[in-house]
Amino acid sequence: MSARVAFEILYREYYVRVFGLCRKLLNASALAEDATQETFMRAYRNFSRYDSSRPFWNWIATIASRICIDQIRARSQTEHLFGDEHDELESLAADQPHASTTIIEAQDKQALLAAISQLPDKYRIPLTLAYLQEMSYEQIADQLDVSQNHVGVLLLRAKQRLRATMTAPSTAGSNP
Amino acid sequence: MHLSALELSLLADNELDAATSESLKAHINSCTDCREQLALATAETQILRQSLEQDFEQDLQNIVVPTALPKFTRAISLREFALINVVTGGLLWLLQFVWKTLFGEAVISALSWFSIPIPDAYEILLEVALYFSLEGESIMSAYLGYIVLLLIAAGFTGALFYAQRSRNLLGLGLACLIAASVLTPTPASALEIRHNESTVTISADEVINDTLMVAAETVVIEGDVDGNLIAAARRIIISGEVTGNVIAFARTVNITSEIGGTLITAADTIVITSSELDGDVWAAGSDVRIDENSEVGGNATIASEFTVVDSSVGRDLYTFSETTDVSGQIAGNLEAFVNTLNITGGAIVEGDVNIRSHDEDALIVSPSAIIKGETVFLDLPESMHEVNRYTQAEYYLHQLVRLAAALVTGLLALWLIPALRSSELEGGMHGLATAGLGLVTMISIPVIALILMVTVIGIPLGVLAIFGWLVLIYLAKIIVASQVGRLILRNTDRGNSLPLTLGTGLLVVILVINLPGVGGIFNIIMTLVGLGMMVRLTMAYLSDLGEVK
Repeated sequence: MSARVAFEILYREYYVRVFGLCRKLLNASALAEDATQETFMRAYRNFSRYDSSRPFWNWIATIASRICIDQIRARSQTEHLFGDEHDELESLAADQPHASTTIIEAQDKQALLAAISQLPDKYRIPLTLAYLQEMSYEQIADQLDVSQNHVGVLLLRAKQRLRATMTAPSTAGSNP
Repeated sequence: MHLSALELSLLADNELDAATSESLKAHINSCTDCREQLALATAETQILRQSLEQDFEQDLQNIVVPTALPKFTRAISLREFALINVVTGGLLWLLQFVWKTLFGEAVISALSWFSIPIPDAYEILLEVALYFSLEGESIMSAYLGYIVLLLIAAGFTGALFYAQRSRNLLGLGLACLIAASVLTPTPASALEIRHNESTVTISADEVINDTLMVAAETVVIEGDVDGNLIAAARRIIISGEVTGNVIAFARTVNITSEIGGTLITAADTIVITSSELDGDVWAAGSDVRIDENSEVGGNATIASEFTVVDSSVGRDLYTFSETTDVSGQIAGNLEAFVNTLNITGGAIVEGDVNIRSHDEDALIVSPSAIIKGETVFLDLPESMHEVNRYTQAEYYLHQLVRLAAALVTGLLALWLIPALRSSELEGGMHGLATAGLGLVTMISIPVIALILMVTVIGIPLGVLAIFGWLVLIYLAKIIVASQVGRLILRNTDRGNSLPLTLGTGLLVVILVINLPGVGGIFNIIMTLVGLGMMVRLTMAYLSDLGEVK
């Protein structure tokens, strides 16, 4: 069986998941289609580098997220998509109050998901990578090209934003 | 001092280093507030994980895999690049070959054949000759182009080795390839070629100062040709003088001419009258006649059902025929492979008459004929003077060249098509089956080629099939050799070195096939096994493709 034939099987098997991930990361179906194609192309070209002892999904998901992040970068046209670490830390200090109320209190999952999709890219992407893709801070830092500390801050900021949205009952789901 | 939100978040995500984590946990154990906060933060990440995961799985339900697969492409490797070069060259050559035959010649000729339902052997021969006489040169030049192409590819491959395979170089190589592909099909011909569907006439006042190639329904050469003449037609009439050689293929050939060089002709009927042929004559047909006013300067070799040689022959006369009549003067020997040889009145044979026939009645000599030498009946062709080849230096040199050529070819083939390395020599019934498969291949390809050649359009394909068959036969022993080499070096640390295993294997194979007596049998067996292995590989590959679909 040629590598190509093998790869076509993988393509059929993983297309749905890769597409789903791209759609989550990009927040858009049309773009996700291109990103998915690009992901499989890149995977095919680099197939020799794939370590078959590790799950294929992890490998291709890394490629997919990288491609999506590149696309978002190109879309946002800013050099520092994920902001500056110090600025983020400062804004963190500003709304320091402890999370006495948490998003747990919001029982409505749909509202939570809506709130997540409303998050700015810089928070939504690390959040997706960390809690959907189960990536470590180190892996996320590598993907976003920021420091590990920065990842931690971004994630905290993301959670704080969600808390704020979820606890403001009438504005749930609207842009924070 | 309570834990910061960031510390809690990091702790919940389990992303703190062990030391920090320990010291923070110490605090948490003593602080209810922080313990609660951590529990909340951990629960929070848990909620996020679950929600995202569930949503993701749900989200997948409405995604459909597109039926059309994308065209997966990737940067080609060095090996693939070389393979593409070879294949492109081959295809280019094939395309030219088929195109020229089908449209340049065969279709046009086929149209004129509607009146004749079944083309006879001469017709086919004529068609082949016509094709080769017209296109032979350009085929050769295209082939030359193919070699040039390969050289370019080889040169580029070398450059690639040294220049770390950058993309730009690949682009450059592809450009070279394309340039070569575009340049090669232009056949350079310095010949005068005339081609007409009905009649080509070189009139008496015309002089051709070049080699003349001519193909038509009827070819009439009345003028002089100061060069060679190559003609293919249904009917060829030559009455002008030709200083060079004459090659003529037709249904009927009539020559009343002076020919400076050799005459090679094949036709149903060949009639040579009042001609002066300075060189040798090679004639094949069913009826060949050379009249008494003609002179042949060199040897005459005639294969024909009925042969009449009334002319003088400057040297020996070889005749292979049913009936041969000789009445002229033969300056050398007369060698006859005949059923009946008539040496009629006026005939003079200066040398011996050797007849390959059991039957003494096969020879009828007129009383007025003169045979100056001996008349000998030979049962069998005189066997060549037996030489012990193992005592000849050339023989060993030849084998060395053979080894080197096989090594180079084998390395190239096994590098280009690594699958060939994967087959293994097998014993028992399986090995026997492989050899059987090889035997079937060995027989079936020429049969198919012959069937193809019966139809005019199939001629190039048939020729190609034979060509491919010869290549396969050559490769067969190389593949066997590579396996033999691997078996020999299996237990050494060099067992994976391709040049070494192949070289060792080839050495063994060449030694074995040159063994006195049994070498030939080994040669056949190894060829059959190698062919069978290649067929098996191809079959395995095809069934792989089929299974996946």
